[in-house]
Amino acid sequence: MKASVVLKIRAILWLHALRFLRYKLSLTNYVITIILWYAIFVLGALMFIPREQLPQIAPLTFWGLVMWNIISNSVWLIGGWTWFFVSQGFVEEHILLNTKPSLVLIGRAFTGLLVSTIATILVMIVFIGIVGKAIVEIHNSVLIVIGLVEIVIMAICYGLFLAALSFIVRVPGTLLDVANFMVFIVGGIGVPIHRLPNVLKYVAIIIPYSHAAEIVRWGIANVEPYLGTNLELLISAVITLSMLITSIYVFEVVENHVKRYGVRAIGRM
Amino acid sequence: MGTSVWMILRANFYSLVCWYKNNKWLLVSIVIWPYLMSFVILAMGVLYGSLESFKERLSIANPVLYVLTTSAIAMSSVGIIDAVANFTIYHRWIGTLPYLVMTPTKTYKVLLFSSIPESMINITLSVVAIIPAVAYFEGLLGVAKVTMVLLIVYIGMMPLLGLSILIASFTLGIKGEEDVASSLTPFILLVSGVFYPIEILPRILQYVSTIMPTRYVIEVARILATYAIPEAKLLFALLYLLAILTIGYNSISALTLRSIEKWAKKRGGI
Repeated sequence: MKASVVLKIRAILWLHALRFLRYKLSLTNYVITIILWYAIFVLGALMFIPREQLPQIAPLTFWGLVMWNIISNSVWLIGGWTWFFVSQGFVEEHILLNTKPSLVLIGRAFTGLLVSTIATILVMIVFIGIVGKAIVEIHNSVLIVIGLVEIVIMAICYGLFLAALSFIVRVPGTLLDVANFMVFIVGGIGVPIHRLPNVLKYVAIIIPYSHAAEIVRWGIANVEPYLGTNLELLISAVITLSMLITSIYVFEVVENHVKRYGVRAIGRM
Repeated sequence: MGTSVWMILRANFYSLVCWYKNNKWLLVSIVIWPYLMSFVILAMGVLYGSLESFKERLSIANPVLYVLTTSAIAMSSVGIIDAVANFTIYHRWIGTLPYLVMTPTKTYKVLLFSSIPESMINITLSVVAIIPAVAYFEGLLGVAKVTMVLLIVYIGMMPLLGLSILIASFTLGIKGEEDVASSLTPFILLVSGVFYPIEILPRILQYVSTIMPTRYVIEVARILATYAIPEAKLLFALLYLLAILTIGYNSISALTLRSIEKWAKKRGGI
């Protein structure tokens, strides 16, 4: 009997929810880890800011880290989980059961988003205590939602793209960590593009996340996006759509390759 | 007959060399991490604020040297805690933990000495990695200061190993393969005041920080980034504190591990 798409999606969500509950201690630990690293970086960065500028700069720093957290979670929770998925032989098993491995991996975003949301709320509470309510005072919530949704979609696509790559090549996980760190500054996530040095501005514009990040900052502190408001909205929407189409296409190609030649990712990522 | 300390050290060193031979990027990443951490903090700080403000808040003379050394200390501390605390989880995952626990050699000895090669390599690489940058910004005096930091980090490793074994004991007590220890690493760094003065933390965390070895290692980095040639008594006071913590943590962890191991064996949790 062929299972319907709805049934498959239900099964995948059930799988990830079950894992979430089964490994509740690990997940709690993961959330706490994120909060603590947030705290270390934010407190460090705040030391550079003159006291009188704290209310304006603190929200930008905080939201920069929130966006970075969403992106890096997709790498660690989708890209990283692929190692487990591959090593357990689940790719072949799902293909044989007529279920796309990409669909199972997308389900991992459920865990990632839940972890990011819980961590963000808790960190927000802590930082309201340290910096004050400036962190939650926003200019336009619609823009923040648009920017964050685009970042979530881009992050899932990036995670899927990495997962697809790791089916056919051996990508060392440590390199992904390094890339993640670099993207935070040079990708215009942690810092608005207009504050970057001229050379880095070119790099940031090329990195897809920077445009959605500019929209989020526009919504938070009314910081005008580097390429202008309308153009930035258009570019970020086009990039999100392109990343979605590309990742689906790449995964299709890789899946066909895997059906023919088998999975090649070996060992620890 | 138990295995000698030398054999444990040699076996683990050999295993580590083989591991790095097959994962060269892992080795490269140990060298890159202190730079990445420094880059993110300095870039975020400078692009939003100024080095002057950082100098004033932390009462230090040289912010670049300070951020570089504290990043190296932070990354080597992460390396030490991971080497010990994740040892039990890793062996549980690959199914070799019962064999290790059942060997005639005491588990405390296995845990402590198995982690020393990895800890030493992590410390050495993390701290030595920053020497070129320090030499560029600070010259020979900076290199001498980093060498001193390296020695202090080696000394700070002793109590940190005890603390890590204490963390590993708790993971041994948890049935299943859940990772409950990884949040303790950033917690230790948070209360040690890596990039900020401890005084900005809530009072309770300030009290907790007094029993954290990394706090004193970071304090050394702060002293070295403040004075051209620091007073000997400042450094020696910190060394004595580290010695006290070494005795304290290692005694407590040996006793705790023994009781948790006994309890876990009886319960069949290993």
